[in-house]
Amino acid sequence: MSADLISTVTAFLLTVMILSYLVGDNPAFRIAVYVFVGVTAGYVAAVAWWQVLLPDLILPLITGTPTTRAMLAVPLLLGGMLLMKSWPPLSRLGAPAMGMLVGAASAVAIGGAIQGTLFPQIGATLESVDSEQLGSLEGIVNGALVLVGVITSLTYFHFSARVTADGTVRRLGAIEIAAGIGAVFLAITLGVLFAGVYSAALTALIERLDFIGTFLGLR
Amino acid sequence: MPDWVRVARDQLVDNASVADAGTKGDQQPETPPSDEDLLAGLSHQDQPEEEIPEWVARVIGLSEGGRRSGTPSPDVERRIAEEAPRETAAPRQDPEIGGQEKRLRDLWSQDVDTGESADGGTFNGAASVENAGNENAEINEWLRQLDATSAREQEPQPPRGVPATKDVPTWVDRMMGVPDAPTQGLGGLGDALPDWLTESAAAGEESPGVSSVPDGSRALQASPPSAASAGTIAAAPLEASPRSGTQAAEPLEVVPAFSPEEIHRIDVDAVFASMHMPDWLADVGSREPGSSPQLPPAAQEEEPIAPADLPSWVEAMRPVESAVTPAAGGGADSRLEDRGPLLGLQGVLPAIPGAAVPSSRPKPHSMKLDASEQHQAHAKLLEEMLAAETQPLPIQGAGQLRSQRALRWAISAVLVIVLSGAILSGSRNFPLPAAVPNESIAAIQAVQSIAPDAPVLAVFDYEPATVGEMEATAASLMDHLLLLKHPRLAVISTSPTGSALAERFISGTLADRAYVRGVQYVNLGYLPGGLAGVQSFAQDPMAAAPLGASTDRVWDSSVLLGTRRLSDFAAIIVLTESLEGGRVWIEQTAAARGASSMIIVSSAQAGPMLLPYFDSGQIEGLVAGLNGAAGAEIANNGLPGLVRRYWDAYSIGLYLAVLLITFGALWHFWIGFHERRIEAA
Repeated sequence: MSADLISTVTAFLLTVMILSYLVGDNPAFRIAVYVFVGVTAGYVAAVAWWQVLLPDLILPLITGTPTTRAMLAVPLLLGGMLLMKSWPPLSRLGAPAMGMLVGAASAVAIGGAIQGTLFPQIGATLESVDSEQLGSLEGIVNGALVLVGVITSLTYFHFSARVTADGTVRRLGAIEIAAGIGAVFLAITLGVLFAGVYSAALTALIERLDFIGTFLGLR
Repeated sequence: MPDWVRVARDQLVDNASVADAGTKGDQQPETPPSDEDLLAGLSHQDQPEEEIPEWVARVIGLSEGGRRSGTPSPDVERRIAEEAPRETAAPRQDPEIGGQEKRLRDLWSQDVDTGESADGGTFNGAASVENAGNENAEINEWLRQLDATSAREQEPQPPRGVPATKDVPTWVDRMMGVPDAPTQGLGGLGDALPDWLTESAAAGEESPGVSSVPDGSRALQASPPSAASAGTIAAAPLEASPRSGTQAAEPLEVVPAFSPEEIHRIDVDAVFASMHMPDWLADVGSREPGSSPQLPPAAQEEEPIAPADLPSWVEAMRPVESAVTPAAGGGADSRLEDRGPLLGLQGVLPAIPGAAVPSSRPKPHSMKLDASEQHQAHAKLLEEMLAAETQPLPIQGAGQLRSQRALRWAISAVLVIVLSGAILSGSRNFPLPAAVPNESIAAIQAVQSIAPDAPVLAVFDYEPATVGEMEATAASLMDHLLLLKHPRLAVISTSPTGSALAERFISGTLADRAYVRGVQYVNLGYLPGGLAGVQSFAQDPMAAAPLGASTDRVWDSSVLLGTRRLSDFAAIIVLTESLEGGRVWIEQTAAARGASSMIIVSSAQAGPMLLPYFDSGQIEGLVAGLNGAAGAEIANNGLPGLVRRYWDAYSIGLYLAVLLITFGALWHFWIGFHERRIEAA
């Protein structure tokens, strides 16, 4: 029995076990989930050792130059302190390493978002009403939809309001109208996202059904 | 001194004088009658019974049945007569004792006939015995016990001078060490005879003649025929028991057991000296003019009765209601305990003065709340909320749950059956879309613009769960790239499983291209650090990923020859199923990408969110889902054909979803409309 056949049979069984969830929660589904979680954890650990710790930390510490070793002492120390998070008496020692991780990740994320998303997207929105694109009706409509959609969607998240004479809480009239229009755009966006999720799940189901048909020789 | 005590004493003194005159010749030298005996002649006092304590009444000869009666019962007389011959037949009968018995019998007969006694004080003591003998059961009892007295010679006797009577409280008897048996040994007289008579017998135990008498009959014979003989009758058996045996065979000198003075003074005083007398009685004795400060002769001769050292708890449990003065105990101490370990005891727990009455009246507190209307409104609202919380909610019916489960099964069955039928049948009824999305066209153009044999970086950032969609989406574009440009491919992943999925994709889906690892492509493996790792890789790829997935030096291989920076790659193709995966590579590599084109191959669910990056020009192309991959497959001449293979099923699934959603919406609309119409009706 070849390795491909074993892997194919295993994949078929696990696929059937996962699909059994359609009739409700059952032991077969749980076993399959547990197998996936266990295999994934084991594989991730192996990858972390063989592809990260050993080549990037252990081997340089053994065979590297003193400078390299001194440089690697910092991540080694921080890694060891981070492991202390799993031991309650010394969990506070992991706080510096965790703080460094959070700070570095936040700096990288914010910097990337500002330079890679915020400014480029604002500029793209402004360009949607560029005079060059307004030369055609399609350009005008597209630019108008982008502009109105962006403005109204952002207005929808403006929740400041005042108490009226009758005791009700309402936003200003213009903001209320813009928020209503923005809600329409958001609803369409959410609908598109739902369609995309359904489309992705449908494609995955089709691929699995095709695999089962192929395995059973029905195709 | 009460009048009745004074009168009784005078009468008793007179009677004793008469008795002394009759017995002086036979008795030892008499002691002059003394006025010190306060209780002498108490038997003749006529005070009301309720003024005399019970034990005093018994001391002076007043029985329960007939304290005033001095007439002995005929039945008792008959029984004594029957017992006398039998007792006189005892082998150790002393002649002197026989003579005394005869005189005593004569005196007894005389007293019975006359109903009066020459010395009424002592005789009334005997009369009390007689009255007690009215009850046949008691007489029989003491007569039987008189017979058994000789058999109990070795039994312990009460100490001398200790009154063995039931009139004295039991606890006093126990303090004195007086067992119950000697009292019973009196032939039942213990219940009727005064204690001081028994005491007088104890005082005269030194008399061998009396001691040798084995039972009550002999005691009667040994006693002088005087009024004091009544006391001897009762006392003789008590003292005779220990003297029986070998001592009885010795010649004994007959000595009168008691003189009237001893009976009147010594014994009574000894009795009262050993008892806790009421205060009024003690005061009377102490204030009697002419009374001797010394103890009575009996008390002087005998060992003084030392009060027993009782434990405190025993002392506290004594029934001392007669000894506790009203001032000490208080009027509330007479309460009878009806529960607990003190059950049946009376006045044990003294009442605490003032405990029943509160010391002070509790201060009145105002219960009026200073609540405004707003507070009351809030309180009412809170009350309504609490009431609403306590109201049970109707449990969702099991029928509805069953219907939901059935609906889920029905939808699942429809999907599986329809999609399986479409796939297994190999249907090609739904044509691929003719209108290819702009972003997909741009992606194809970007791939086609890549120089041949140029290094291309492929990022596999998706999870195994989305392999089916991602491989179908990326297959046509990557196949088009490999088929047309034969690039030197380098794969990397920010997901631990990404490198394995890349190997699967190249060796499986793109197997027709026959790309060999290390020759046409290299696997840089897992890039740790998330977005920080991506930024590090963008700045220095060789430092961020120095080794390949197999720890080989990939940067020295021919695949990455001349490639040292990110901008050295001709194109960067990111395969991701999520928005985050694509956005990280877009944001972090923007500055380091240079002239390299970036193409995003994403899942259908992430496509709409990544489309703005294409519109903004940050990426050169985007292929999202099967719809976007359809254009790439068309451009690639239908290779490898996964989109076409799935397209009918995909289209049927979309239509089925539309139908189900539409049907469900109409169904709920109808149900709501029907319910509203019913409510309106």
